[in-house]
Amino acid sequence: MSITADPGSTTGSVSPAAEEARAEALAATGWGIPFKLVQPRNAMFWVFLWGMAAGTLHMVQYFGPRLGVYGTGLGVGILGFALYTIPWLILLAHHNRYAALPWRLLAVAFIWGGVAATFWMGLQANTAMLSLYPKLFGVEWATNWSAGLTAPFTEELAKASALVLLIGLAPKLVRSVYDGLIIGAFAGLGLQIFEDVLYAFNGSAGNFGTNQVGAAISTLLSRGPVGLFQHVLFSAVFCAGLMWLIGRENGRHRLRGLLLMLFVVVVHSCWDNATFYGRSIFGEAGPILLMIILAVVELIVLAQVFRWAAPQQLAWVHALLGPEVVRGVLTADEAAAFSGGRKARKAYVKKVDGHHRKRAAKHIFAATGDLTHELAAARAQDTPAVQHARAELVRLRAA
Amino acid sequence: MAETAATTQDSAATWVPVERRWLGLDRLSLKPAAIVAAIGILLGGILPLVDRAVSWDNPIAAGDRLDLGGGLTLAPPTGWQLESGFRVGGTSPNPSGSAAIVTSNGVSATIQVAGFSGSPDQLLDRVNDNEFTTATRPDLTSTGNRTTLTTGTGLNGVLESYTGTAREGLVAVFTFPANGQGLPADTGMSIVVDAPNGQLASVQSDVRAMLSSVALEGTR
Repeated sequence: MSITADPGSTTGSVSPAAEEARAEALAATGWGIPFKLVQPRNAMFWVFLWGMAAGTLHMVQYFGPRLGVYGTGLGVGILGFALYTIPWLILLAHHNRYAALPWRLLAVAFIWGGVAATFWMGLQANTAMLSLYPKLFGVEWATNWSAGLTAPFTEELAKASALVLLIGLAPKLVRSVYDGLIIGAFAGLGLQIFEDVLYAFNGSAGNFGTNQVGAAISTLLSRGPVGLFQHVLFSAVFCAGLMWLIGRENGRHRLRGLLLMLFVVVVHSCWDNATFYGRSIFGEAGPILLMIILAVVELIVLAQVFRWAAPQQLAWVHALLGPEVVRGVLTADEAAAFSGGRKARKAYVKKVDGHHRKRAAKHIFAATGDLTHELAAARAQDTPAVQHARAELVRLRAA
Repeated sequence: MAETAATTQDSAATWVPVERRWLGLDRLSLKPAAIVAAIGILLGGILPLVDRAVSWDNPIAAGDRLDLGGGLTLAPPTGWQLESGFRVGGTSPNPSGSAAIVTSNGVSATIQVAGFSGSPDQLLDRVNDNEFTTATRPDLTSTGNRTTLTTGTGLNGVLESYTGTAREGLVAVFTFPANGQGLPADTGMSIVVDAPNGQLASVQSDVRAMLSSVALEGTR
């Protein structure tokens, strides 16, 4: 087999080993396979429709009757939290690069998290459990304990259902722990945003509905910052853990997966019972102290989950780029640095002498990112887009 | 051509071979679909059913008063169920001073305390506006028989009845200026008693006694 009409190729060489490794990476990741939601032969598609219909119905039943009275608060809440969503999407898009999951798939995770997980599952289950606890254990016990023993179970389960949903809808695409992490983050974002809008709406009813704008803004200011350490992070870690638990990465690390899921349940509980736990452990200033500790511990655990989940993803990127090294489009060092993560890229640039050459090395990495994206999307076929991405690397080297 | 190729790829990605189908559905999709459906049924269906099946056992005893926050208290009728709220003298104080709900045989009294500046008449107008413009109670009309109300400790409020095709009830409100002690800001209190049609009369004296029992610490 020979490669023709390849403007980026300098040698036209082909290595069977490199091609095989690339083919394996493509098979393992499902890169380039389109995501299709409408699949009448897939039972999950019907469950998706059912969950969305039930969630929408409950949402309309919840907001509809009081829309005329508290519509102002709801409108301000929707506007505020829509703006709040934008930086989140930018951050999550940054983490979904190279081995990117299709946007339509992530949109399904978000909307399932926001509508089905929030209104069909979370709201119904939370209302029931918050009512059951005082019936069973008394109002005062429930005041201290019930919140932290409700949502950590109901909401984490509801959000994780988005991952199972997408494994069912796109089994070839949702493969790695990293996929679980990203899907979990999007499902968590969906639940967080829709739940926050619901809180803004409920807040509007405070003060007998006399200060709806102020109440909605106050919800935004109080829920926005703590949201950085809550649902998105919770379900990213929880779903990464779930992927390990169900045996992704060849069945290794099941215990790690289970422990991460338990960790999320515990920290979620600590947030929801921060006042009670904080005062019980640390005294009057306890709640704030507890929240700070939680935020720090969660970020450390999240960083570690990234460190555990990324290597598999990066190895696939390396395998995808292997034949490009053989062709001479990239050097072996460049391919290794690019697929070695941020630190490896920085170390590579640091070693290069001179400002201009450093800058050129950064451009090569950016263009390699484009090539990786195009190769993945085209399943490494020689499409015009792939050829163009290769030609860009040639152009940059000549510049 | 390109379009045809893309369409073929699309179909290939989701094609289900005939021997893998059950009732036309992909057998491989059944297990994950069952898991998600089960989570939905458990959270969205079974837990609410369990909650409805378990009844309240938190009856108001003679002499019980509810702590509504800010020094406001009220004595619900003896024997009614306390579904939400805090008793005076309980181990934990009312954390928010927000609301309490007591019920008896389908009749409920929802007590709300929140910031409000204005007269009792203005608050009642506001509550009516909120209650009667909601789609859950479109058929309710206030009967326009607004009367004043004086509690045992001399607090003045206003009271109005309402009726509808299936429900009836009353709304009582009080307003309190900030007092620098329990109430840092102007405060309003509403008590909405809601009953199926024909049920209000049987609890009328209990409800009257509850309304008369509203008290604010430091006033007498």
